[in-house]
Amino acid sequence: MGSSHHLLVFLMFLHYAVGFTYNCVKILPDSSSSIVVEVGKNFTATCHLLEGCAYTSDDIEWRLGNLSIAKQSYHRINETAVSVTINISSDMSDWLKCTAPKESLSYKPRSIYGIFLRAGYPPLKPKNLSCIAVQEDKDISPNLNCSWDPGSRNPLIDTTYTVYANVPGTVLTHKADCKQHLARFCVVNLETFPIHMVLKVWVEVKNALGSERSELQSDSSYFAKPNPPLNVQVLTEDKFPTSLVVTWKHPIDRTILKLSYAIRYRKVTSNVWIEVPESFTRGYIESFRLQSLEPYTQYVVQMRCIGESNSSYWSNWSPSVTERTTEAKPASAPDLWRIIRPTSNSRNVTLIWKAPVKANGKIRFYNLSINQNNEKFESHNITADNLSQMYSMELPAGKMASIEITAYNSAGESPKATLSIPRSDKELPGVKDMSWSVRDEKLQVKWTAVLPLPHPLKLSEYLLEWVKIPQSVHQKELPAGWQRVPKNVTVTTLNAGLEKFKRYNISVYPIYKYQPGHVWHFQPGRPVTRPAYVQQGPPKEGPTVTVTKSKKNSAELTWEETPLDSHQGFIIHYTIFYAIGNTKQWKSETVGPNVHSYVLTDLASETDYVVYVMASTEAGSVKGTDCTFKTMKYGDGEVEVIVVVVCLSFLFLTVFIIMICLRKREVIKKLLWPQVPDPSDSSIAHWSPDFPIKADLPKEDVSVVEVDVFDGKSLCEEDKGVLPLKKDKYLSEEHSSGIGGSSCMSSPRHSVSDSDEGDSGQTTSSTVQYSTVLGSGYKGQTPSHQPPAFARSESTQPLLDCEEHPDHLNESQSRSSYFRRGRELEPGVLAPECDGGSLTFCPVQEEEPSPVAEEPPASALCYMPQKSGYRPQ
Amino acid sequence: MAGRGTNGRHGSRGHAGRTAALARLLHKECIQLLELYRNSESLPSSPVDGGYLVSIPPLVPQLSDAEKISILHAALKECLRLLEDVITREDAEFSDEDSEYKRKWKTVRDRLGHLLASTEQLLVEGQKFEAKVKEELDGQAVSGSFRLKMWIVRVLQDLVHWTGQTSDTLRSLPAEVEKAPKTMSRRTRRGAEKIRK
Repeated sequence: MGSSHHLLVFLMFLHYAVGFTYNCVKILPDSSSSIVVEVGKNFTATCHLLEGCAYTSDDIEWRLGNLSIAKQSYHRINETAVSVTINISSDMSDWLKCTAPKESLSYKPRSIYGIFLRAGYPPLKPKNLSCIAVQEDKDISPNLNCSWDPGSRNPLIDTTYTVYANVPGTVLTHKADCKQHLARFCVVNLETFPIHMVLKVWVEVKNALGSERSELQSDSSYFAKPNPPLNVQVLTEDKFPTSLVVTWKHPIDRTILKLSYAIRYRKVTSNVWIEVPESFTRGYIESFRLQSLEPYTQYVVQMRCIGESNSSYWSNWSPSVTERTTEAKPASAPDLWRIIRPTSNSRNVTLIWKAPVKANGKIRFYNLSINQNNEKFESHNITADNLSQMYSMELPAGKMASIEITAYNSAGESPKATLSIPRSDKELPGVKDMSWSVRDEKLQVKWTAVLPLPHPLKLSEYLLEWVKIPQSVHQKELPAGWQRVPKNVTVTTLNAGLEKFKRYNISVYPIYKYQPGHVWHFQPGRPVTRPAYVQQGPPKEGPTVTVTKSKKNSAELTWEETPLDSHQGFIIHYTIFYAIGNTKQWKSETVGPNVHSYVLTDLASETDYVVYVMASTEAGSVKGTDCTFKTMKYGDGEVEVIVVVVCLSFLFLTVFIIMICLRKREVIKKLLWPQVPDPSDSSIAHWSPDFPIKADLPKEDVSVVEVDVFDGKSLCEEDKGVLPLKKDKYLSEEHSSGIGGSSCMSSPRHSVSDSDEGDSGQTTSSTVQYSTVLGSGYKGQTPSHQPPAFARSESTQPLLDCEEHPDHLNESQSRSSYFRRGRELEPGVLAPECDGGSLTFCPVQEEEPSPVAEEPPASALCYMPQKSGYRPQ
Repeated sequence: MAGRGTNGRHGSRGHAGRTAALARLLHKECIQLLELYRNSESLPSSPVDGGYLVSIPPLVPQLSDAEKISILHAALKECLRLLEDVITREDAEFSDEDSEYKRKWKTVRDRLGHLLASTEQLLVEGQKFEAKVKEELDGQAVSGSFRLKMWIVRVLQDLVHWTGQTSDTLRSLPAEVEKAPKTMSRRTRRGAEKIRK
């Protein structure tokens, strides 16, 4: 809706602007189309009032687009005409309108007229016109490609480019319209290329503001570009190792274009072309011999051509053709060197060599001749194989050797290379000092020159040797590289392709020469060697750390040095990182590159630690594997101290107890072994009805305890073993002793006292009766002469049980023995001494007790076995 | 671009030399065309009897080089007319074909026009010779007939002959004949009206 409305307004505007019938104004110049005006120039238009128009020139107003033009630009020509002059700029392509506006309240119609101005530039002259017609098949193409520089200015208006071509003298002119805006090239078809004619070509640029043209006129060959020479071949010639023959075919017939040729060549290994002078290849030739070339060298050859006397374009270069010159005999000697490894009593010499620099062919084999102590030692022909250009031999330390080597190719023999190896103790001096640095990723070695040696030794040159370490076991390449430099040089850059991150031992040897005969001999001096890296990197792997000792507050770490090949640089230090468990709170210690163990201190006891060691070079660091360990709970000697203290304490305690026991033994004895009346001293043993006889005896209280002697449960375990033996005895002896037997009996079953029943039945009774003897004479007490009174003891106390005193078990046994032996003993030896204060079992005589019993010593208390049991009183 | 001359350079060769080279080229192309035609039409390779179609005054040694060139120019002019007639007839017969064979015809025609333009510059003003065609192909000659083909062969034989004669004559010209002819500018102006796109 909106767009159609605008279109309608625009059409109405056009209707009123151009050719409006009610107009009484007109602009000159006028045009049915746009009027092209040149940018930068003044343009003048005049507005005329037509006859019968009610306006005056004062009513005329000029507008460009929607903008009024300043009155200063107006020029009143007369009453009916007003002109305006404007300076055209590039943005003035718009309607220039002349209006006579309707005054207010006027009936006069509004008049307007306009012309469309189109601002632009006149065309620029094309520059650098060139045209070219390439060769097609065997002729020159009729299509002429022309190009030019149209300039950078946009003409703003329609501009055409047309290329014309004409052969002067003919009526036909070919043309091509170039359709592109600001055309730069065009192709004009000549139908037949006018060979051997003059051709005139021009490009014409036209627009409404003018035209320009650029022209070329020349022999038509000037526009022709031939193809490169055909079938270019390079041929070798036997016996001419320094020349190559180049042959080719003409790319176009000479009747069309007579050509001359250019040849260029280079070594395959070089980028620099050498061009054969044009004077050498002038003429319509089809072959040329390249001379002064190097033997057995690959050359690349190219050709191009041009119309005779440079009458055409140069062709492109032909495709490269590569050929190798034939072989000539080597022009230089092989480069011989040696590596000496001292052995226990000899020297292992490895001879290594490089092919001659000027091999002039493929080296087929080497002739190696070795003299020891000026006598021919051995000679070998060694096939030239890159993998085996070395020879090893043993050379005793006390011998000198002279080596000669010659290289052979298919054309002949090389000059001879010689090398002397002196006796071990005859080495010539080396350079004083040597250092290296890295420049442009190459090693630069610097050394101090050697001092002159006395005649006939002369310094010939220096030799720099590099050996990669560690050397590979399966190394197929030469074990070393070397480079010779003139004797006046003390700084040089190694031209070796040294690998990054690999360690090399760089050695500098002075090479001396002397002339014992007519042949120069060369002998190296003592080397000076330094390890070097052409570029260092971070180590490939970190050291593996192990904890060799872990203590309460410290731990000793040990790590192996990683393989040299993985260092990739000089290790500048190791850093030990350690942290508690998973806390990640790392602490670090840095140690020197030669340190491979370290003791971490100030650790927490009984704590898990993680530790690793990081190896660092100047290029970076790499960590080793983690290792965990746990510190000890106790420090060194703490356990021992504790053990010793505990032992000592126990010892002291034991001693103390023993001391106490010794000092308080009486008390203990009383506690452990309460005094039991001695049955042997019992008055019962001497008891008789005639009391008065015994009236002076100390009265004793005797308790008779009945003991169940056959109650196995009440026997002590020790007695169980002897029980079968005793049983009969017990039975046969009728439990003669209630005291002795009761020592292993836990409790009496019954207690009887003053029972008459037991008198006859004691032998069959299973009880032992104790009788309490009540008297006053025991233990030195003065007994009263009261008649003894018997009282049966009701005590259940065990009698000196062996459980309480196991050591009495044997005693008990021996007591039994006593009982047994007692029958055999004489009465006179019966009475052992009894300690007055101690309880002692006295041997019992089983004989019929005499009516008058021996008086026991007053000082001894003995329990005497009761033979016939309880006897009624 | 090594070896390039300046704008407008004509090269080291003189005009007569270029014309001689052109005549030689055209002579070769005419031979090729004749061979091509004989092969394409399965015609015998032996020359057709009857002599040359174009006749000129005899090139006796007494004539100057310029006169010889003028006479040859006239003969070549007649050859061109005959050739255009042949091409017209060939176009009528093989209208849609754009073959190597047809291109060769047109190349020879254009090249002959170039040679005429080039030799014209060698002509001495005021000297005019005319050549005659002994046998015109009249309107009764049926196109495609054997007679027509023989007549075309004879035209080509004439071309070979007269271009060869021109080539030989031009190559024998001494250097002093090579001069800048006055007719060149006039011809150029006159011929500039025809423009082919």
